[in-house]
Amino acid sequence: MRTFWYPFTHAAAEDIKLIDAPLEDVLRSRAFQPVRRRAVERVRGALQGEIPDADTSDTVKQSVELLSYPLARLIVSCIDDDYLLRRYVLAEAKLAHRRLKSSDTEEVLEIASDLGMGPLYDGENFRIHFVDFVMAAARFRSQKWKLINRTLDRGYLTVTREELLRLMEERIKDRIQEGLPLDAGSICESLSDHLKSIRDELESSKQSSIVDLGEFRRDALPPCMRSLLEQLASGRNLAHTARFALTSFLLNINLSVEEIVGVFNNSPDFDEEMTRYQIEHIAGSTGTRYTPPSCSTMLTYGNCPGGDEICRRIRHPISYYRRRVREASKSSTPS
Amino acid sequence: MESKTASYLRSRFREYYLTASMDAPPGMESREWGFIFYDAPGMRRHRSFSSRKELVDYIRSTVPAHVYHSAAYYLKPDAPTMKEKIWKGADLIFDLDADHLSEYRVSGRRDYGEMLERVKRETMKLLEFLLSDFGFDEKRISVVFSGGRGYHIHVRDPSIMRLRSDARREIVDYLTGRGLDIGRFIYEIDVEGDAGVGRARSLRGPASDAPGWGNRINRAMESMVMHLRALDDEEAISLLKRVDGIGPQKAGRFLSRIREENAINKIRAGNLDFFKYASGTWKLIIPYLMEESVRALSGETDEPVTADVHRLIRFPESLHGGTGLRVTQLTIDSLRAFDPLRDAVVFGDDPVSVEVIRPTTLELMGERFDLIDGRAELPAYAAVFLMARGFAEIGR
Ligand code: SF4
Repeated sequence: MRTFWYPFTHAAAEDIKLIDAPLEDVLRSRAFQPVRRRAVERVRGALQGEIPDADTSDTVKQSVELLSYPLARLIVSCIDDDYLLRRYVLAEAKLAHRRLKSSDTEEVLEIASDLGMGPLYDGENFRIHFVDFVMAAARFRSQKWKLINRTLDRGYLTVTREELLRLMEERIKDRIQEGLPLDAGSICESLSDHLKSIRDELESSKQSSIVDLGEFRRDALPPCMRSLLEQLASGRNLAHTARFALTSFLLNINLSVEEIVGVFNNSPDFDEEMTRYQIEHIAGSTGTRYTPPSCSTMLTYGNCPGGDEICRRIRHPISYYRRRVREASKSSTPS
Repeated sequence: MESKTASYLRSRFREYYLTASMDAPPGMESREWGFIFYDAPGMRRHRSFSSRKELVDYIRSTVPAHVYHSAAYYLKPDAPTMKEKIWKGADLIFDLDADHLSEYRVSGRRDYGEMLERVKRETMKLLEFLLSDFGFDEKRISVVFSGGRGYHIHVRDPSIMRLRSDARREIVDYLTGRGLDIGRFIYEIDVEGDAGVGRARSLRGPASDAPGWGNRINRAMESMVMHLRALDDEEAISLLKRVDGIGPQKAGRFLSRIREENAINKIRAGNLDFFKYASGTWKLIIPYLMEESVRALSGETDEPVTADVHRLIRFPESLHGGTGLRVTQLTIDSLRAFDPLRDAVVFGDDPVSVEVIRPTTLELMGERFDLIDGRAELPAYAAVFLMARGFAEIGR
């Protein structure tokens, strides 16, 4: 197993111990600068959406890659922000998933067993214990991930390679999450330069995650939708009714499913597959296209924060939006 | 309940507890315990005991009406909140209750013995799932008569201990048939056409030797076909026509197909080609199919007990304070022959005089009692049952 590719494994932890790298040196010495750089890159990457691949063509570079993982965890712990933590865990797991896709079966099996799963390879697909399946699959929402739609025989079922990797990604998330935030204490002081730049980036990431929506006019949004977007941006989990209201609203003003997936990207329990599934469902994949709730329904479920001037003249959040868009285009067209 | 009745029941319960063996569940010291008393409101919970002796002493001295322990194991089982207890894992629990069966939930009153028999059949169905689909070792499964309206199953297998609530709910969905995608089991495939010319579609279903739900669906299909074949044409067609989208013509064609001699063999083999042009008829199967699921597991709206990882469950070998019957520890083998209305009775037949306050009929120990308001002299086991259920008070 290339432990430098899979630094969250127990095997990697053993390898890290074998490298002669006192924490003091990792934090300060010039020789370890590449480690610090890569650790920061991991955290930054997480904020930007993806941890970039690393050059691991020789053993020195491999050690850098391996050591940068525990340091990145320290950095994340020093900043100790829920939003960052989630993004980080997710991005590390996605990086691992990308790498798993290019690993051979032998390596995949080694990592699976390090994660406590014991898949059996049958030459094409994998047999796994149902517990290993439901632990992760219960978080996904599409029908194919329901246990009942699998052939369960004496505790085991078959998954494709792709499905196995997806299940492993969830296990990896849990593994990475374990122990975070670490109690970094005084270590944080030695990292203060790096921490500052990441903190700044964190702030702007939180901001931009709500504005970057292309065509759609943020300033025309009714107070309710604006407030829901803000809650999402600050990493709060939305109640089911709020999620539904926001999704159906955004679909109605012609955002694409992909764009809306992007909106929910910050949600603490973000699960891309499940989110997409839900949005598609609301968009009418089953034949019924859902209309967004009216103001009175919004009020009933506590999703109306109290309206403004325009709200008094409308009964539906969509009418609010249309009105504002109309007004905006009038005033911007030269008369 | 009058206080003299409460103290009478207490003294009878004490009698039982002084000699009951009361084996403690594994990991008893990591479990939370809870107690309800006849003469005190609410539940005394968040208790923990470090040994069986300590527990038994407590029960013998306080004589509770109901005794529960958590399915979960905690680091600090006696901490006052779930958060402080620190959850370490939990047994997998199933609560099969007559209240979860719609026919009993709605009508309420039904013959107690018959109702328990229905739930017992559901329990056996569930056990079959646990052994064959889930592959649990028989030694890790314990079956318990609840003392009330059903059965509990405790699965104590290391593999499931740490499963979270959402994963446990998936197991319940599997057992109750929720979310079943019938298209995964009945589907069309491409096959070589006649004489190798062109391609044709062939309709496939699960074969009778398919594992898991496949086999249950196959069984359901077979029993549906057998059922239809046993009817005369007119009856069968009118039954088929009840299915949305099936008119007399389709029904007739379908029926002539299933009357073919080897229809059953074809179904067993998973070959459904003789159903071609009538795949809508498959909707018929669904009600039959759901007969194969474990319906007593949860009502449609209840949060299933199984998914609640902090849930308390009755302590086997304690008494159920609402019936006076023993919460009886069984094995998979002993379940079949178990008769709760005889085998869970612990009190003798010394005569006890009671004041019946609600007329009722009762069958216990093979005896039938038809009771009207007023004084009656009854064997102790029947007297305790009626007083615990609130149908009688102790006589003067
Ligand atoms: S009144 Fe309607 S549009 Fe305005 S904030 Fe409330 S729900 Fe939204």
